[in-house]
Amino acid sequence: MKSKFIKSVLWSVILIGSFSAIYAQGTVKDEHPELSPEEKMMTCRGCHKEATPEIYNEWYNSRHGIDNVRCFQCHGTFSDFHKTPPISKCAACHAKEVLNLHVPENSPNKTCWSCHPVHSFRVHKGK
Amino acid sequence: MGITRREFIKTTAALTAASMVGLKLPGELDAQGMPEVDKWVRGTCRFCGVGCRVEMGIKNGKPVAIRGVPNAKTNFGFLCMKGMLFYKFMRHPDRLTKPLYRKKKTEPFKEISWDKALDIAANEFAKAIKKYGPNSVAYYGSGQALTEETYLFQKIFRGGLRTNNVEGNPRLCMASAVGGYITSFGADEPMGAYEDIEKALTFFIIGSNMAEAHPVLFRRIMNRKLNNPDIVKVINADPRVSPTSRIADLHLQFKPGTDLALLNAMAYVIIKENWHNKDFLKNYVTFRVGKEKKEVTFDDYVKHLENYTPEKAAKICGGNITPDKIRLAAKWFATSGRTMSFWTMGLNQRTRGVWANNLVNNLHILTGQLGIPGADSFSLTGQPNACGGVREGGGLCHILPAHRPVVNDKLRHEVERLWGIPEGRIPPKPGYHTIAMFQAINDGKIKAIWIHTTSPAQSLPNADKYRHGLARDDVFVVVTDIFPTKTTELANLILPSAFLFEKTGVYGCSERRSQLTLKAVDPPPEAKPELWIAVEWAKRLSKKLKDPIVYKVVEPFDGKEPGFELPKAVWSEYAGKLTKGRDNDLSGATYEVLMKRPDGVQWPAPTQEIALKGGTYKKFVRGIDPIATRLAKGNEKYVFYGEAHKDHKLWIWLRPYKGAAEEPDAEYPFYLSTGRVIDQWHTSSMTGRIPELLQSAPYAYVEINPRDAMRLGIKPNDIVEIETRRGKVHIPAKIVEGPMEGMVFVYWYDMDEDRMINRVTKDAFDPGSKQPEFKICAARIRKYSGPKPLKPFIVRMKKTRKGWVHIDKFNIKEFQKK
Amino acid sequence: MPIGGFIVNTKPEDIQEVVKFLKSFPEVEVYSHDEKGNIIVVIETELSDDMDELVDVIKQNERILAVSVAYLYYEDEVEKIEKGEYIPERFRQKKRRN
Repeated sequence: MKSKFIKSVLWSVILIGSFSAIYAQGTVKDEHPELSPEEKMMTCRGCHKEATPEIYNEWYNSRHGIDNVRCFQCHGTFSDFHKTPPISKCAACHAKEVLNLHVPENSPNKTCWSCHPVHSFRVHKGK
Repeated sequence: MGITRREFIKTTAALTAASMVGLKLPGELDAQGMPEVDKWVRGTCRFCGVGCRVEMGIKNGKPVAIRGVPNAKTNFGFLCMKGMLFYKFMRHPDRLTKPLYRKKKTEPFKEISWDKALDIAANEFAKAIKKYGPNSVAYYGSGQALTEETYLFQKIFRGGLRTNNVEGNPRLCMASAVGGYITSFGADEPMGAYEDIEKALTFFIIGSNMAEAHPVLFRRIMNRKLNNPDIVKVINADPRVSPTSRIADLHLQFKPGTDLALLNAMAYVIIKENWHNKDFLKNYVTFRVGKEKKEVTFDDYVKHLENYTPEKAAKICGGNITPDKIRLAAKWFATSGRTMSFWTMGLNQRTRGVWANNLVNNLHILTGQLGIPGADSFSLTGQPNACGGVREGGGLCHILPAHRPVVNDKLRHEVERLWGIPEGRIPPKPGYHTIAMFQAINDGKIKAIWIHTTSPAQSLPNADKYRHGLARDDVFVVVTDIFPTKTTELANLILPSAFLFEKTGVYGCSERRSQLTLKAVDPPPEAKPELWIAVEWAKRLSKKLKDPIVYKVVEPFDGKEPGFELPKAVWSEYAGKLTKGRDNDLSGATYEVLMKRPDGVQWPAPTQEIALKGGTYKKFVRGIDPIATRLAKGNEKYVFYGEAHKDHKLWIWLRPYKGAAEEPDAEYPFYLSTGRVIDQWHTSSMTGRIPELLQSAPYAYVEINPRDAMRLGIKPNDIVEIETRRGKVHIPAKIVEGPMEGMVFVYWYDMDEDRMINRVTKDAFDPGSKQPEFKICAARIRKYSGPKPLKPFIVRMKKTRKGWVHIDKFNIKEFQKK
Repeated sequence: MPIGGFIVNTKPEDIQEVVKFLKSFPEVEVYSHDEKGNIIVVIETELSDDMDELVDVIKQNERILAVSVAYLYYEDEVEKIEKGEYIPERFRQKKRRN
């Protein structure tokens, strides 16, 4: 008797909770390390050239870097900062690829950088 | 499913909690990873002349996202930072939403109804016409207005108000390219298209920073080069090292203005080495010189080029130009088999802009690098609709719709007939060109001007001079725009307009491609589409002038539903009637056809069948261009049917090197040049209101060569005083291996009075194209102070007890006194 | 390992501090927050008792106004409970009240 009651309570809670079956990439905004107001007026790449030179160079020499796709387009700015961007940011230019990523057969947990190393984003064929 | 069960449950837990407090989890996507929207509406990007196709994501009637259209032949789904983000300012609090009026320009603006506003606008124009004649009124439009808008406004002014004082900002941007194409090829606009890029083997990029100004098109060149590093060659010719130079195999750095010598020298080498295409020259080319267009011979041309041997040219050019570099550039250009040239303002914004254009065109004509896949002489257009609206729609003082020169009686009467108005309505002479127009305002000759979707108070060279005219209280200034600008500060009447995607209409981009944007959302309440404004204004004007013809020109559009039916009707008239049978025939590109296309239609497209397939990829080629196919005789491959060349030939022009209007001297030893950056569009009135872009480019910089900086003791971020004969500004320094020694380069988007560079540029203009020489004038620089904490500045308005005022250190009362 | 979805309430000015605090617990994942001070977290522990204990610790932070449960999933505990092997404290308490 007792266990039946507990079971129904437990399962009803589960039922109430599980109506939303949408797969969402809910990542909270990250926080960029604290900066002074003057430092904030610098461009991302202006500072990161010195602060994170390997990442900067990877980006600078990538096709994104040569074609002026800049940090904030993927990572956002201070008020909307993501260390790891949500894929919806990539979708602005790479809609077709993002759509293909999420076809269930193709393991939907994938992100662009599951295969393309971040910042350099070289294609597999070694280009 | 691939995600773990745990992951799924955790996500469900979070979502449940979030939904209980009405919270959206960031980056919420639909099942396919896209941002969640109700619908995606297709259109064209609001900015540069590439013409990227985009889709705007709408949720609850608001724009929330933008993505590229993967199968569009302009951008293939890619966007630049501006295209990606412009939905963010559509609902910005600074949006103009109510008509604002003031009788005197020193007063605040009062909100008035549309009825009253249109009445006032009609009154003032009617008053001026009655008292001072039709040429006392003017229209200054924009390469960012819809084709339908430019077409309708110029119809009202020419056919209705009987003045050819119809101009637009493409005069500051593309007029030299137009002049170059018409004199070289006989007709305006490029022969080829973007798709030549993927077949080209040499790229000659001159006077252009494509990597920042046309980034999504540059992407295609970058890929072509990086995917074929050994066989594709890129030559970048620019006095300044820019982000575009990164993919260049050869960077030619020459003193500003000396490119005329460089280009002539390349032609000299090509002929000396026998790399010219003799067959092509024999069949399709003549040689011309001077105002009289005197025909001369190939030998005359060779003799003319003796003045521009590589040795002589290298001396003129300075910089890093050596005779060997000229020879190498000529070799790569001429022997690749497929060479594409790209240029924009470096060649156009010059007192010798038409000549510079001719000289690049010459190289292509000389080597037969035209009409074949991968080869073209391609002028990049700066604005999204300078081609479609202004150059094709009749938006310059000397041309009527569909490339009809005003002075051509037969064609002018043809337009009158097509409009159903009496013969003689359209004046037989061109109106004022832009600089002359604003000078006429200064001289008190123009009493009323309508400024549409552009900000000449910031974009004209020597801006203060013309701001004085606009600030006069006896000049009635109407401005249609979406945000306050430096120009609304000088207006009497501000009319809030609808933005792209809040109205339907066509933009025609650089490659002769017209693309349709459908209305996706409503404009903020009380902002109206300009077509509706124009029709309502014309109706009132007709009554006040007691002239029924003024009504006749808008009659077919009166009462039409403004969101779709109205623009459709205007387009049907323009494309279906005015372009029919002309070289830019778009009669096959009806709205229905345009809506079926993922991108658009390239003219000529004289039938719907041709338009549905995309139109004409390359002009003048028999088999590809329907007009050439129709006109071809015998077994000629090409028919160069441009109306300006009755002989149906391409013309190689003998052009000398002549320097700029104001070159450096002892007093002003620096070249001052100006230009854009990727983050900000033009005057930054739109992009400056996107936080990411403002943070990325908060204010203007002056780029100074490290050696000059060291000599003058200028360090990064020092405030530099830049002084010319016209005034001085104070701008922070960026020390960069950018401009060559003896040259500085300033970004012109900044609205801050103290940093607005066009206050000191020179308004000398090309005598042929009337386009001003923004790219070259003489300046002196000195360190003004150490680094200062600067604030970005965008013009805003605020409501006070007395009315609406602009917030700006610029004070019109004090300015009027100067 | 039970999984719970919670709403943590705090004053808007304390959001950053509280988020930092919450992130310091390995069992806690912070998903999102709004400007009003609602913070969405998911907590995953070995046993329900551990979760209750953790929630109590969290509640003790004076910047936190409330912790409300939105979703509880007992996962593998269900089996154990059915078999009578394990009874979470909260059920024991309930039982006593009955």
